[in-house]
Amino acid sequence: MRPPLEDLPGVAALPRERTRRPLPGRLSRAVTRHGGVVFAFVFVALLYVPLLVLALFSFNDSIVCSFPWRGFTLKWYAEALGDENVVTAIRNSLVVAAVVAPLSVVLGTLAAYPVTRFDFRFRGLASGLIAAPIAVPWEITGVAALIYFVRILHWTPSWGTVILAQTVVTVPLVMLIMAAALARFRKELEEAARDLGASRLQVFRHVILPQVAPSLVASGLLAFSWSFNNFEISFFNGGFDLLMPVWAYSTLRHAVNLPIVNAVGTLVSAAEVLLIACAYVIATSRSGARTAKEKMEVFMGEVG
Amino acid sequence: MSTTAEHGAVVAAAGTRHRSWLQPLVYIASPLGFMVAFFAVPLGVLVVTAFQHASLYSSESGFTLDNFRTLVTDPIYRDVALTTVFIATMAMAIQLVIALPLSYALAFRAGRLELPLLLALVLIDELNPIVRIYSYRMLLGREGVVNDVLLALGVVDRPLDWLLFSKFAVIVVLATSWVNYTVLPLYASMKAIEPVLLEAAQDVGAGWLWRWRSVILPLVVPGLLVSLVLVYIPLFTDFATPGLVGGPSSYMLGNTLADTMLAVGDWGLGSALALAMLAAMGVLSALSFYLTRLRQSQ
Amino acid sequence: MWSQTLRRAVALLAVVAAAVVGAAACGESGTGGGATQSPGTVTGEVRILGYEDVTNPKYIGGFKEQYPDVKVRISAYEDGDQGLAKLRAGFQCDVINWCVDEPASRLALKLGYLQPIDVSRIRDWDRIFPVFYKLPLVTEADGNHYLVPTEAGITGIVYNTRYVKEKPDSWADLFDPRYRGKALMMDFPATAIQVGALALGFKDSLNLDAQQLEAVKRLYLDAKARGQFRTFYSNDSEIIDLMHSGEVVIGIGYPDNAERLRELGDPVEFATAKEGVLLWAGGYSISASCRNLDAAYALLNYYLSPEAEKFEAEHWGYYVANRDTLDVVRAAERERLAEAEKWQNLALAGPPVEGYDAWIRLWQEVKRQ
Repeated sequence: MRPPLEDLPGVAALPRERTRRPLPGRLSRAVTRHGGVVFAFVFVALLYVPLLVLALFSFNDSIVCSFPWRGFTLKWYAEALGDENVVTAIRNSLVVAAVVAPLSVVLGTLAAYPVTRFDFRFRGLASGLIAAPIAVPWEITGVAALIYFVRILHWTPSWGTVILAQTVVTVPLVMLIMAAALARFRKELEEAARDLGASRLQVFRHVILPQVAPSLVASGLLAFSWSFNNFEISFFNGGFDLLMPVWAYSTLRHAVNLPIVNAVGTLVSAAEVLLIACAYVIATSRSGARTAKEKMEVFMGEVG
Repeated sequence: MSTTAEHGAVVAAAGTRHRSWLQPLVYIASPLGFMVAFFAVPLGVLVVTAFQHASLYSSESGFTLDNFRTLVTDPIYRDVALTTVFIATMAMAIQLVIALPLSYALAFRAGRLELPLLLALVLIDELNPIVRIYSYRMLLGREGVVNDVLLALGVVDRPLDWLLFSKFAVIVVLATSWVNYTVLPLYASMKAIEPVLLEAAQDVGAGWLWRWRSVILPLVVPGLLVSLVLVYIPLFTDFATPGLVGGPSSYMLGNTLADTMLAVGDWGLGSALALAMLAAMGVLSALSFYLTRLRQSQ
Repeated sequence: MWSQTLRRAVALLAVVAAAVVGAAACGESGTGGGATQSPGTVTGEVRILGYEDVTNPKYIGGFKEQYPDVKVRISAYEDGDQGLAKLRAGFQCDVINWCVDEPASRLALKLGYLQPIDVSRIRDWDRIFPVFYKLPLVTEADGNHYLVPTEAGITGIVYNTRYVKEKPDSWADLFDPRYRGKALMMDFPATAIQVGALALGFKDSLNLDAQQLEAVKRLYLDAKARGQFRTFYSNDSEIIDLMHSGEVVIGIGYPDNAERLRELGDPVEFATAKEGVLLWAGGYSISASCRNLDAAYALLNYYLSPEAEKFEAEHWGYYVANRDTLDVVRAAERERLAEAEKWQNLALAGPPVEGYDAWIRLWQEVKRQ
């Protein structure tokens, strides 16, 4: 399916008679080939260093998260897991996020698709409205939603209000990421498939989805994270059921609680990493997919 | 375009012309309806107060444009806006410098590591977000790791004060916190570039700078603009970071808003500020859509 | 044109959305108890809004044991401003935990969110240390009582004796250029400005005229210009972390901070300032829209009881309001708690409701560059 070179945009502008630069050696070539990946790997690893250090200090017998090391202890974890508020808060936030994340992904993708595929009259306005919550600070969205729920709809703040308000602020994230993924500069593949009789859904499933699979997974994970860790919305739109970020921030008022919050944070993080890693390993090993592309399709198929 | 594709497009267009507005509506109806019901209407209710006196400390009431006048003329808002624009822009610039090569590497060079690295990058925001900021004090403090290294290497002979509790600290923390949101849309749009294009460019001996300037950058413009919309505006509203690592001189728009909404309780002024931010984002988005259309029509 | 699957998907989405909306609409309707019930059979639900302290299982556990038929529901806030914002937006509850030195508590009263407390129903009302009766909200100008005080604390100077050789005795010591770059101030306009006023020698630190406010602003701007304060902090973890690592050597704080640091091995002491020790105090109010008065009074009585006060004193290091607590606490705490007897002339931390917006603005002007 490779089109003639001359048809590719920009190729016409290429200087034709350019002489190849001499290759200075295997090292230089290795750097060019692998430099990017090494950079990516090192950078991501560096981002994780603070987290690993914090995880380390969750075992430190001290209420400050810094050196010197005072001795290994599991007491922070024991206190955290023994505290019924911690367990309740985590459970509640998990439930909320488990609803908010899929809902946001569905709504966000439903919004991103027409915006990038059709050119209808109010496209700008519609997409602007759906993306708008990203520009409004969460405090304001939270307070506005609370006023609306309580004073106008006469609802009591509870699970429903938190889920709705969190979805409102998370949909723009999904929509924007999926819009970036779906905005292609060449639609011939899609149109060719449609010409051959494929329905839009089939086109989506077999042509577009593999391409945007990583973005879909990523936006789902981010949506989950935004919901789980959202303080402002959880605080203003939550009822009397404790949610994790509200617990964490209000607990930090007392210095002695810092290591406990750290322990909880580390525990939750470890669980998330483990879950994703397991899902990845299971999904990719089961089908025997080898190339990265195939692995992504499999992973997406498992998750989606 | 080849004739087959042209023909197909014409056929498709003819068949859908009179239903062209219905199709997108089907998709966008639920998200749009949801947003109208649970965002636009509530915000509208609050935003009406932007045109009213709604402060706890003022006994005035009724409609007014004072809130907007305050935003524009108050020297505090002017200074805070300048500080915020500076910090947010620097953080955004740093992120782009990192994110462009990073997303390129992920999209084209990572091979087997592509998905794991992507997942790792996406996960970083979820992990221990509340306590994470305390780790920066360990890194950047007077007795922190960075200062220890600098002292050991002899680069400085006294610990640097300005690494922590300064605008520098806020910029660094913001950049590292949001970089994954910048990378994702860029990566997503880079995935849409046919590798064949880059191979072609390499085949004719083009250097990396030319490849970037003429091939890659123009094609990732949609992703770039999404990154800007997704990250740049929210950077303005962050208040936790400047509060914890910014020291006495990093009072940003997010802090002002928090003070206005909570301490002063002036929901009118807070709403006016929210409207201003929406307007700014509207401009940025409109620009991005316009530019994207230009690109796609080429 | 519309595939079957798509139509089904849209329908499913509509159903899910309706379910979520329906769940929200139903919410959790309370089962409030009636107005006339004998104290021994208090039932129903009581809804509390307050600091995270109130969620502590051991703290509320005693109440749940005494009144097993009462369902306790708690919503936590980070500080009073947030709690007030929630109330303003329409949030309903029965009992509210306030710190009276926070403007939010007094604004809540002004806005009508609190109802007067019938102190004849408060068993230990007469057992409270004298200083508490004079606090705002506890006794208001109209003679009504809107808050049952249960805890208090003093604000002073926390300093590291390794670096600060002479014991500080004045708020002005925080501004001493000797500690340039190693001093700490709270990021709270009420405290910062009051301390600044006291440091400048203004006697009535809660009633400052424009000229005095200007002088306080000058003080802070000069301090900022020479880099006096390493940062402005907002919770205990910060001051303990920074003093422990040596980033700061002197700062405004609580006795509890010094004690924690001593436990960590740092030679840190707490000193009071001669211009005036700031007293903060907290307690519980009954919301104007309370649905279960019997449970609310039962709760207030519980919080004021020696059993609950003992927990506050021993677990959080607070001072208590009920003098009978001294009979049940550890010997080590008794002497400290008895100090409350002598607090007749302390300055209450926090500004008056009127004019606080000028303080907020002043603090913004200090921070803005």
